[in-house]
Amino acid sequence: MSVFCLSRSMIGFRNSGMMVMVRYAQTAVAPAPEPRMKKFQIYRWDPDTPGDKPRMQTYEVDLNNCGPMVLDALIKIKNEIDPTLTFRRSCREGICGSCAMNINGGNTLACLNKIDANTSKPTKIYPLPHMYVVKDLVPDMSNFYAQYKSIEPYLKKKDESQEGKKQYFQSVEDRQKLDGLYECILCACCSTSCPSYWWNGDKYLGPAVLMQAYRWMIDSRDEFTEERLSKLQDPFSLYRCHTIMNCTKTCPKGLNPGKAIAEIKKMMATYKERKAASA
Amino acid sequence: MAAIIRLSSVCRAGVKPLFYQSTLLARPAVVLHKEHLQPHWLTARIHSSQPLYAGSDSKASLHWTAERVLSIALLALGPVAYFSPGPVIDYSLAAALTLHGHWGIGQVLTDYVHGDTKIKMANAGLFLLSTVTFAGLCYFNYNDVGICKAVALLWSK
Amino acid sequence: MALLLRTLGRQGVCLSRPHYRVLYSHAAPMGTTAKEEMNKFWAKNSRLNRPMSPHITVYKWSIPMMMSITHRGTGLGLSGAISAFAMAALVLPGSYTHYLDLIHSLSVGPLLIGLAKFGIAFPLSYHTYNGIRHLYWDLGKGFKIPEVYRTGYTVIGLSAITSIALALM
Repeated sequence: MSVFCLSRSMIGFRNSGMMVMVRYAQTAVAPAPEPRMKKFQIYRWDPDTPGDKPRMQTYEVDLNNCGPMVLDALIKIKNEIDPTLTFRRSCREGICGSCAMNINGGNTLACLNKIDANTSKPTKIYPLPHMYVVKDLVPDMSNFYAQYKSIEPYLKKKDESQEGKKQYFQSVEDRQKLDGLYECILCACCSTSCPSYWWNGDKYLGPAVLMQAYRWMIDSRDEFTEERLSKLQDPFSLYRCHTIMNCTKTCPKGLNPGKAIAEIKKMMATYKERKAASA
Repeated sequence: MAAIIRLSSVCRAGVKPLFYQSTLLARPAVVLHKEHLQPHWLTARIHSSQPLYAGSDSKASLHWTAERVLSIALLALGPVAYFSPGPVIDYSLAAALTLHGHWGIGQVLTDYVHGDTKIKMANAGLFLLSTVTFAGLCYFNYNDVGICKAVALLWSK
Repeated sequence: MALLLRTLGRQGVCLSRPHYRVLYSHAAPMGTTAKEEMNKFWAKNSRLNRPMSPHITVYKWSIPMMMSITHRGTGLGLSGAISAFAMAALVLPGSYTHYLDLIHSLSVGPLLIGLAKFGIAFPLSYHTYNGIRHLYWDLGKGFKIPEVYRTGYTVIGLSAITSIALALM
């Protein structure tokens, strides 16, 4: 390195032209690589075009000029090819849950799903299955959110007059019980992968919401476990689950809603029926 | 019991229509307990919860447990039927098979049949089918060779 | 109770009196209930005639998914066969042995008999073994995805072996 520097400074003055050529050879780019064109077949539907029917539209993207994830491709398509392509997105790092969609048959987050570099096969992108479509890849999530609201996903104490005065202590073991449950980002990949949720999404709560119900049931600080269990005593809310296990298979965060539901069923069979306390 | 609060009726002043429709449900507000006017006869806060006690008896969970118990019983009946066939096993098998099938088809109907009348009709049809099935199997047990022997004979050919 | 309080409220009952204080001192109104939101969802989406995103036609099939629907299919098939048998017992005039002899006299051939036995044995073994797998799940075990696949392949393997063995008997 030092020799090189020396020679540089020596040559520099006398032969700057030569130097420029040497420098050019060092920094010249390799010949432009062959473009790797990947086809994306994307579900489209426009509510503002009267009589429009859902259809598939194909876009081609050069993977050499695109980020590695499907969301990168979607954003590139929207920026450079078709600005009308509509989808939800936010954090681009797999924590917000906005970009949940069906890619190549499985529900994942577009920002975490690597584009399959095999250019001979198209990537098929659909909205989350069996959901009302607002536009293109955007589903109506209101029912899902209402179901989440219905399980009262917050800490409930019998006597809340002491709230804020002292910490609610929780042992390390009790806190560990929440691992694998609290990390849910409510992206709805699991619920929309469940055939039972497809057929009975009005009354069956679905894996995401049920796992959160379980999260609150087993939180040692919560005092309404029996009441939370009682709320599920009907044929639909919990018992439409037949352990199909699409939920755990598809979770982009690696969580296990199927197991959580099985634990709820066990608790339902064994908890002592107590009059739900109130007032 | 849900505590329904109507903030608008905090006396005197005119009723604010804003709260009229929506204040059906209340949830505990996070309160800064500075001035503290807790009435001495009640120290607990009201905890409002949704009045959805639609299924608060254990009917659904008991049914679930019964289904599993029956499945295990049916599993046990298999080898017993093989090693000590007889009328007791025949009738037990008839009952267990019919009931397991009845509950199984019941789940299928609950999954796929929607609409109040259709559900009623489907369940009535199922009840009829299961009754006829049990009757037929009992008739077979009484008037013919019985289930265990029937399987043995079928397999010997 | 709810109705009573709402009526009281509407009539402007003064809730600031001491024994009412407990009702509102720590409460805030909520915009809509979950049930209301759900109803609004269904009303809005049917009114706007929005399309439903595709599901069964686009979702990728997997072994566990196929095994689950097969469990249902075999259950329905077996139940149907038992009901058919029971109804036949009630309706048909002859005895069981009579009809067995009838089938014997057809001299169907060992291959077809073996196939028929397999046709009965396979649904029965599959439904039984997968049923045990379901009971294992009900205990809370075997929920990791590799375990789901492992137990799944075990069920398929055992079912094949058992039904072939039974068909050859």
